[in-house]
Formats: sequence, structure tokens, C-alpha cells
Amino acid sequence: VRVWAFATMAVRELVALIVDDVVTFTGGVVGLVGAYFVAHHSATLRPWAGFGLFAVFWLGLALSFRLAVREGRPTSPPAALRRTSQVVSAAPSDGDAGPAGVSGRDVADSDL
Amino acid sequence: VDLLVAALPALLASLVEFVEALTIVLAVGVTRGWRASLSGAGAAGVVLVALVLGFGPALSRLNPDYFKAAVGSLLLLFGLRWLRKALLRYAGVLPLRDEREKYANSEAKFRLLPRVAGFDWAATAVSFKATMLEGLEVVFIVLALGAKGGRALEAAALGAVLALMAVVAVGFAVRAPLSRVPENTLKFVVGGMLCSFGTFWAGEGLGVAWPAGDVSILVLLAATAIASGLAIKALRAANRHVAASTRTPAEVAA
Repeated sequence: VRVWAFATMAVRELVALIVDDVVTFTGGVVGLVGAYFVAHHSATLRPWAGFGLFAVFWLGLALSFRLAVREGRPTSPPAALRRTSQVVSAAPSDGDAGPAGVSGRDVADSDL
Repeated sequence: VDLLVAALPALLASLVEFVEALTIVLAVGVTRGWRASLSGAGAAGVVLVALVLGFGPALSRLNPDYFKAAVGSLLLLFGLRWLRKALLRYAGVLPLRDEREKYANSEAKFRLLPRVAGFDWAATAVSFKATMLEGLEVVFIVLALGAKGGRALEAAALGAVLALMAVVAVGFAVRAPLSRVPENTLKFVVGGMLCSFGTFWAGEGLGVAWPAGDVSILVLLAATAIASGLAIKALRAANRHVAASTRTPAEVAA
């Protein structure tokens, strides 16, 4: 069970290295796929496909920014994918279990 | 120039990540003892070096086009993550990372870990995990920038090692979290560089014929800087607007 838990955590962390925000990630992927198709199907646009990629991923970023501001918080990934080093919260003040309810594993696995 | 392109982003990115890891290693060391803290960090360091040595030379033997497309795409997607976060922090949508606060919170948490007789495995695991997580990003960048072949891997690794030495030396000297390192600026610069290099390499691998060859990288860097400036301006304005529209009547009256 511990090996499985460790493997799952490792995979989550690896995914989280790339996917921090779904909208931004999608913009990047769409731009890459678009650049591939343009480069392979249009001799005229081939030199400009790279700049098209640049424009598309910036559109993704812009959309992500808009959502982040509108929601008053960043568009975050599911908790399971969240990068653990981003948030370090004092257990009692953040509504987590206080000292009496904290086990060693809770603390060890908590956000670093 | 090629070696600088590999070494500089690796150096800057490593500075950011090692500063973050140092905060946790220091907090573990102060609260739980240096033996456990340094054992965990050291073990993670060994694993990370093994990853670079294991995967680095193998990557440069891949088909150049596939390699450029894969590494460029990964660098771009990875860089977007950093760029997005840095811009949101500049604009005030996300709070700036405060190493002193992280340190204080971590210290409070680590004191809650159960103590057992003998070697402190729990504290070692915390230190290992923190170093491993921050170091993985460094390994990823070093491998991607170094996989271009030639001496690029050595240059990227040298950049990371220099950053590690600088952070360890300063951390040892001040024995406190390095809160004065301009993390967000470094994150922005690295994110912009990774996005620009990633776009260029991915484009080449995917069949794009860049109009001005390698000079296009400079165009992408300049375009990233301009777009980032505009984004920060627009984000600040939008953030102010949202803040104003969500004020309570009492706040408005005050």
C-alpha cells in the first residue's frame, strides 16, 4: 500500500510539473497541434506557424488570467494535482486540525 | 552562445528552487535536528544527480526532430506555468511568495511531528520530499536544456551546481530563509526564456521554417517581454476593478 501511495504521489507531482492550470495547458497544446498542421499543410504559412503558436498560447494565458481575476482567485488545478510546495499553512489557523488532531503522517504529507 | 542558452536558465531556475528547498531544510533542521534534515536533503540530492546522469546522455541520442518537438513542447508547457504564476503575482492577483512566512509556518508544523527514540525518520522524509520536489523541476530543466547535445548538458548542470553552491553558502552564512532573493523576477525571467526557447525548438521539431533562423529566438523573447508588460497592466486594472466592485457598503463609506 505504501509503494502504491508513493507511486501515485510521484505521478501526481510529475503531472503537476506541467499542468498547473488547465486553461493555460490547453492553450499550449492547441497551439502546438495547430503549428504542426499549419507547418505540414500550408507552404505559404509554414514560416509563420511558430508565431501562430506564440499567439495561441498567449490567448490561452489571457483567458486564464481573465478567469483568475473574475473568480478573485487563480484558476487552480484539482487539489490532487496542486503543487505541494506552493502552500504552507499553519495548521491551527487555516482550519486544519489543530495540534491535538495532527498525526505525523498529516504533517509529513502536508503542503511543503 | 549555445552553452549560455543552456546554463543561464538552469542557473536562474535552480536559484528559485533551491531557495524554496532551503526554507524547508532549514525549518526541519532547526526544529528536528540537522542530522535528519541533512540526511533527507542529501539522499534526495543523490537521486536527482542519478536522474541527470541516467537520462541526460540518453536523450541526446534521440532523432533530432522528435527530440526538438518533444523537449521544446515540454519546455514551453513548463515555462507557461512559471510565466503565468509570475505575472499573476506581479499584478497582485496572487500574493508574492514570502520565504519568512513559509519558514515560520513550516517550523510550527514540524514541531508537531511525533518524536520517537533513535533516528528521526519522519523529519528525514519531510526534508527528502521537499528537496526532491523542488529538485525535480531543476532536473527537468537541466535535462531539457542539456539534451541539445554537445556540451549543453554539462553547461546546464554547471548552472544548477553554481546555484546550489550559492544558495547553500548564503544559507549557511545567514542561517535564515533567503527572503531577499527576488524570486518572482527570477521566475518571470526563466518562464519567459523557457517559453521562447520552447516555442522555437518545438516549432523546428514540428516542421516550422523560422523566417530569420536563430534570430527568431530574440524576436520571441522581445515579444514575450512586450506581451508580459501588457498583461501585467491589464491584470492590474482588472484586479482593481474587481476589488472596487466587491467592496461592502461599510468599506465604501469608510
